[in-house]
Amino acid sequence: MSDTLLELINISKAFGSIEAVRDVNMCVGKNEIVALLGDNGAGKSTLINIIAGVFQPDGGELHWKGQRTNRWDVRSGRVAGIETVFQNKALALNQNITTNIFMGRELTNWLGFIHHKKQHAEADRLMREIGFTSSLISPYSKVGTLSGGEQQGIAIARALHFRSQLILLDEPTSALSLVETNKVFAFSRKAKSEGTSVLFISHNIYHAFDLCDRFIILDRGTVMVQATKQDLGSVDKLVKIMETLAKSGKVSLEGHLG
Amino acid sequence: MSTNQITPPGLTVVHPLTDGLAGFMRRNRNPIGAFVMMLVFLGLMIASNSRVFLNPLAYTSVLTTLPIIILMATSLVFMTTGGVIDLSYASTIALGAWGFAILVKNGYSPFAGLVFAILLGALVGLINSMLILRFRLQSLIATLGMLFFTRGAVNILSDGKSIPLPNIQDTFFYQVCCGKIGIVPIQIFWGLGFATVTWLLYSWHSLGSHIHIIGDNEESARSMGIAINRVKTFTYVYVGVASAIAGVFIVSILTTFWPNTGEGYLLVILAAIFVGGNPLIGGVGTVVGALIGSFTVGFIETGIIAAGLDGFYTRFAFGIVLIVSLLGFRTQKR
Repeated sequence: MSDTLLELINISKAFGSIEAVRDVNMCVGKNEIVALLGDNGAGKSTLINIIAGVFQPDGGELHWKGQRTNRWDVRSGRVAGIETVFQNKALALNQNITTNIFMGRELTNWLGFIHHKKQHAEADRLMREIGFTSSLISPYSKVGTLSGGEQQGIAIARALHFRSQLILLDEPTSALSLVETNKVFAFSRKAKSEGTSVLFISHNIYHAFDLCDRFIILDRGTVMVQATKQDLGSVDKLVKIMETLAKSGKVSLEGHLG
Repeated sequence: MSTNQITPPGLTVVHPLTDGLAGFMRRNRNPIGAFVMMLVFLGLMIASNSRVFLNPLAYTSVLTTLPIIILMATSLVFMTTGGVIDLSYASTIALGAWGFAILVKNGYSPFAGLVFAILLGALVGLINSMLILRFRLQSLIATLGMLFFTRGAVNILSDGKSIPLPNIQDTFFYQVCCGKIGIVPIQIFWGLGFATVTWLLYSWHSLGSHIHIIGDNEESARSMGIAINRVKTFTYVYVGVASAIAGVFIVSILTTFWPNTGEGYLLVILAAIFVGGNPLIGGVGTVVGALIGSFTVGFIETGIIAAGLDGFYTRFAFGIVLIVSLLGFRTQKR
């Protein structure tokens, strides 16, 4: 990790009386794949939504490339180069694939009219690049007719097209078959090789260990452990940490890393 | 998935909006079906009363009121696609008509009257969008309230009296807006022109695309950074402006403002939208269908009265066409 891309300092967010995340400090460097792990309700999705700009944090600072950001919303996040592949995929099921890929950022002329041909050609290229090989699916297919994995693929194609600097993958593999999971991994590695960072949110420890360089473990809204793959050595250690956390709610990295 | 063959580049890629007559027929089979039903009705009436129906004047009279239906039905597709409905237009028509009439009566140019009417229509649209977006009322309820409120306002403003504009037929404005080319009333071209603008916005502009996405899944639209409130406000203002223009057309054609202007159009226009194949669920819709639906409804409405039948046959025919065409949509869903 050479330079820091994204840094969160003391980020907090509450929904009513429930503190979803509390004083979270974490960072994502350039060109790395970071895992954000934790059980259901640990605050992973809240954190992702804060980074993506969907939620405004109640307190704390968000730094992008060393600069403190003032108002961070979806649009400014997009402009900076953050692309989110949401858990619910953020798709419109009655629209075709092209509309979904370019959702909110259509290729238009200065009057706002859409370059349909250009969009469809680009959608066609992206779909083949990430491995849509079925002749039954064209850029005009309605997204609602695709399988869950294919829908995830559309959301990833969207991130691919916009050459993002940081891709947030929110539970990308939870609905996928093994083959399709491997595709997502292949894509994430490809993104890294092109200089893009990936923040991979999952509660599947094995998937995460396979893919990621560094691990941030959340529990009940706070960061409990930060460790690199070298620190951990094997997936068993990661499993043990998670188990201890679930049991006691406390863990010391040193104790486990010995 | 991996065993399937790879699509050769560019083989199956045909743009849905440019795939020719066959594609047009396939996508619009519902409104076209309803239109054919209407033609059958018309055929029956010609057979029973050929003297009236072979008289071209009967069709001229259709073309007089049809533009109003076209104007409203096509612009309201923005509403149904966005998953909402605007009922207030029937009164906004009257407000626009009043604004136009009061200025012309006081000696202003009809063009100034048109601008004033458009401003009034936009104002109603803004109030609608404020009630719905800011105060979170449901669109049906908010616009129903505005339907009554605006009608009441028009009655108060006009003192419940009509405003005759006897000199309007001598103006240049009248020649441009509702004169005649041969026996064809000009306003039909304005109606079609407006429908074309709506279609361009709806099918070719990013705005139309955003409306589709918002009506389909508002949560997705929000997380992908679409300016939901701005897009929705535009649609309410657009319908308001269209209503006001429709009001100006009605006043110009009748050369008189009536406080109950537009009342009769409320349900007729909704019928045109639904016969045109626009469902009430968001994310789906067709401006071309609404246009065809307008023709269906307009011909039934005026045709039956021109045939010398009683007005209640109109409602009867509407009922049959609406129900049968909606049954047709049902069977289409797998």
